[in-house]
Amino acid sequence: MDDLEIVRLVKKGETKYFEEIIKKYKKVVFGHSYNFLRNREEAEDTAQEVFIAVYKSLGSFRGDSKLSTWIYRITINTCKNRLKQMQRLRAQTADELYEEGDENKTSMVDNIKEKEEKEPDKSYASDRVRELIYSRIDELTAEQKHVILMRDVDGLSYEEIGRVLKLSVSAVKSKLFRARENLREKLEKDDVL
Amino acid sequence: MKENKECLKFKEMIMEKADGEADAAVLGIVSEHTGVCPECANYENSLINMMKLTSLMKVEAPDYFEIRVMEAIKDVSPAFNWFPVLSYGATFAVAVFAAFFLLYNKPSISKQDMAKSVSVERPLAAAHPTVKTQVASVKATIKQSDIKAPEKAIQTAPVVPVERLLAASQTQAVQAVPASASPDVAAAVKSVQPAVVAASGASIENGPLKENLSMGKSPVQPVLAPVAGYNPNYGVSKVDMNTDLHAAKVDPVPTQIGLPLLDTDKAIVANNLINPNHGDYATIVIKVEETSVVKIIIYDRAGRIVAKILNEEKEPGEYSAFWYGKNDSVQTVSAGAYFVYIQIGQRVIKRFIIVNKN
Repeated sequence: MDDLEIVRLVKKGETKYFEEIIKKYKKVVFGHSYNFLRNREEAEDTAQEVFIAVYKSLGSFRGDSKLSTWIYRITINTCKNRLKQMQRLRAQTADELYEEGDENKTSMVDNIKEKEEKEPDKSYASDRVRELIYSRIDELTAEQKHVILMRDVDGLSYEEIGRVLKLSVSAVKSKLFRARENLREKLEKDDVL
Repeated sequence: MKENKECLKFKEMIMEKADGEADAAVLGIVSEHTGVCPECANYENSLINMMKLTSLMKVEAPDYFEIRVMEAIKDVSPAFNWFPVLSYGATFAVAVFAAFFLLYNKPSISKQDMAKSVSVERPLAAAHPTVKTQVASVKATIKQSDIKAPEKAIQTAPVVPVERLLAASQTQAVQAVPASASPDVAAAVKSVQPAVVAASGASIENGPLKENLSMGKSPVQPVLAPVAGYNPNYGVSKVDMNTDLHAAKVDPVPTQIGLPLLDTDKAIVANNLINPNHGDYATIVIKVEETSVVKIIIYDRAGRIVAKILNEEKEPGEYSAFWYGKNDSVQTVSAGAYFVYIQIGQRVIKRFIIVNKN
């Protein structure tokens, strides 16, 4: 059953078919949310929020664009909003921590070293690389982050990214190039590349 | 500096090539350039390595995710295009109004027609030819008597008396014909009674029927025949319910259940409405066809793990596990819907259990 057929059935009130949409797009929606927010619980909540938003506004979906593009757009907007909320919360928490004192603050590398000392049998090498990539991607602008995740993790083509972000293919190329250059420079400094 | 600017153009093309979005012309240019420019060749390698690393970030959504969302959207109404709904609604309202209008403004139904509307074709009566003929005579009697004195008939014996009298003849709870019935009707009903009893296939004088009648019960008792394939030994008596150790879980034990649904569904939840306060428990029956890892996990509506019932390799066979409505800390869970995530090898089955604490 194709997306339009499923949408038609859900619009008719056959809510159970909405599960098909969730099954089909949960990997992309949850994956993007997780990679963008870097917090599993937040990602689950955000992905749920995305699907609820999709369900609520399915009536206004006319099929002009692909369902995947539409869901992606909602995902990106929801992620941006959630990140803002999280940053506001973090800022508050950071202020509170600063007031309390900052003695226990350790860097990510220190954490990894500590883990390796405690459990030498376990290899944290790949985890470390993953952590590094995550933290370096976090340092990019939100738009660069989305572009890299969409291309490298979700495997969207330039054209699809353009449709989601409402950009031309050449604009996508140049944004992706700049994002990758930034990331590459950071990872080269970390001796990862 | 000039070289760097030129390389910048090539780097974009190298990126296109690495992404698999370059056309033949771009591929040719890039291959030619990387052959002579070691900086760009290195750039291509580092870009490919970086893309491999970023692709490590792929994550899987949790298995219970769709259940969680489907539960969440139950409370949400979709913002649909209301126009067709409203138009159907308006049509329906008009139809209902028209129906009521016609019903209440219809030329008054004659009392004769009302007498005709008496129905005595109960299944029991209809089943027996003797009863059928006698019921027909009752109808005829009613018609004649009511037509003769319509006002009286409507006042004293409205539409239901024959129904009521027949029911009374079955149960014998009413010994006398109600005074409201006309003498003709009473006589006719008396003549029907023995036939109705005969149709029920029992004797009033002997056996349980008499006891039932004396207690005012219906002589027709439901027969509880065992359902084919159901093993009455299944369940509590055969299972060691060591609730002291694991209030939320019991090690599954093999059962000899021959449930046809189990062959197709591979997992069923018998009694999925439980009240832990009354000691109820849900039985999760699974069928393992080949040796595989079996997981049974209970999740709450928010997708949090409540109880891990099973996570081990099982040999082929049928197993049953029990959930007493308690979490892994042996605390009774709150009322609501809980999801049973069952994984048998690669197959994932989802069921739900409702916990009621009233």
